[in-house]
Amino acid sequence: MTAMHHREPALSVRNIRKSFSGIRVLENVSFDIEAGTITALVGSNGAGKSTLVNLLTGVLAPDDGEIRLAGADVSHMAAFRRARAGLLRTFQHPRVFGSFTVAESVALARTPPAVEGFGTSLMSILKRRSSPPCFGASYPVEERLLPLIGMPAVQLSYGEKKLLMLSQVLAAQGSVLCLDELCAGLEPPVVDQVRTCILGLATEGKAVLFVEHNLALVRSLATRVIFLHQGRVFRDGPVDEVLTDPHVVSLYLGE
Amino acid sequence: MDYVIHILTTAGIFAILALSLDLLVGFGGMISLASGVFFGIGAYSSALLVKAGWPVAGAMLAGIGLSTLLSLVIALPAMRIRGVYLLIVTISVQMIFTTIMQNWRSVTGGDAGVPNIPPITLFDLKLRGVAFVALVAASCALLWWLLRRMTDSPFGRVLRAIRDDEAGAASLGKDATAAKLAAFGLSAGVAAYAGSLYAHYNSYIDPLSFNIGLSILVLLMVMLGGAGTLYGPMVGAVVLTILPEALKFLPLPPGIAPALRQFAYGALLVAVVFIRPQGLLGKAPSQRHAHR
Repeated sequence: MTAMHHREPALSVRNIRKSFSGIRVLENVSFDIEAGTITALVGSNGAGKSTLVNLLTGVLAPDDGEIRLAGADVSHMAAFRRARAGLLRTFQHPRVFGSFTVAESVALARTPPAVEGFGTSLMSILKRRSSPPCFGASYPVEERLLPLIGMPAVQLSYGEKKLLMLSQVLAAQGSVLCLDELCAGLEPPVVDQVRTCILGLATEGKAVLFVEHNLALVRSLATRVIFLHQGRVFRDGPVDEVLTDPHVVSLYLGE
Repeated sequence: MDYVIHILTTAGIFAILALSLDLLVGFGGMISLASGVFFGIGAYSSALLVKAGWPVAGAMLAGIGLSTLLSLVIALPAMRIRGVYLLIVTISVQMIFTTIMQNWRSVTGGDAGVPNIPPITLFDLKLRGVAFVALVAASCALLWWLLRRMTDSPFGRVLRAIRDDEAGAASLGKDATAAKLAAFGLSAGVAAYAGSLYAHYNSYIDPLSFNIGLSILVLLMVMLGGAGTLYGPMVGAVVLTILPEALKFLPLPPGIAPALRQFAYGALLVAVVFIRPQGLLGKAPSQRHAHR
């Protein structure tokens, strides 16, 4: 232990590159995200935002570069291991488990790996111990799902499915949360509740990285904006600076 | 009466086999045509070891262990692939198994099979007839209870989540490979148990009893009854065991009777596929993906 103990950033991205069949989608993307902060990832369609989230969470493998989670290299770690290490996400297009009820979906997310192994489950079955799914909402936004907990997840509306994804991520207890256009398509009162929830998460010390097109929402949530343009970090800085930058404005709104 | 007991016993053994496959197909979303392999390993291990002087229980356990172990060896590289590709791998394994059983004459007896397999004895009492049906029925009931509890357990939830959406499950930290391997191993162990019962009941086994025809039949039982319902595959096993027997009682003109029986059997299967594609006891898709 050195006297000058430096705390590692919650998420550290270095020189990430990714091409799809020869087309550069991401080029030398680097940034750090500190615990307890909220960062918005902004950019036009095709700027590489969703690809970046997929690379961070292990759905895709980077061609080059490094991703560190609290100092540990996770660049080539399987997606499920990154999730266990605390790197969680929601998907841009809501996806739910087709045979699950709302309560089961959240219970699935909450159950730690040690409990859901084959042997452990077999022992608890033989001991006739049952494990009914419980919901346990901890944020007001989750309470919207309370009347629906017995319902099959596929029967939820578009917005409800997105709230369910958020509830799953909350239940899974991560340290870095990547929220890919979570608020797109949600009604204004729900967006307000989601915003309160995200602010609360940052207060708890989680690092939040969210992809968002709604700049009013970005201003009200983020302290920092990473503006992606054609696969590169075009601007990275405090929200007011980046969003008032004339180049950013012309690139993002100009066309 | 002996005839009825024989049919019930066969149906019961197939019900165990169908349950083991339902764990893969219905809950794991993995289609396999290698049931015959693990059924056969259980049967051959149990038969050969008992004939070599082992106690039945020990031979059974050895068969279950060998089958589970081999299934893991096969499944480990196969877990990266899914759907029709996994199906092709299991078909290959099935073909290889049948070839080995036919040609490894010094051990398996080749096409001549293994005769004179002693029955299961309990306190010097040979389990035959009604007693054996009771053993099969009890095994089936116990297995049904276990699998039912398992699907509601945390492990079962993970398996279902992976079947529903593997990437989504991974995003919540669920290890698809581990869960699928466990399901594959358990399924193979159960199939081997069924094979052991089959060998000791029949007293004679040969490679034909464990070929791809059998694997297709078991998959048919699962799909006909309704994959993922547990009740369904058991019903499928009973129906597909009794149906060919029942068709023997149809008053058909001699000469073309066997062909007509085959035709009726096929026509009934096609009818089920058209009328209830989700299986006899399967949930209708319209109920699962309702409005909104």
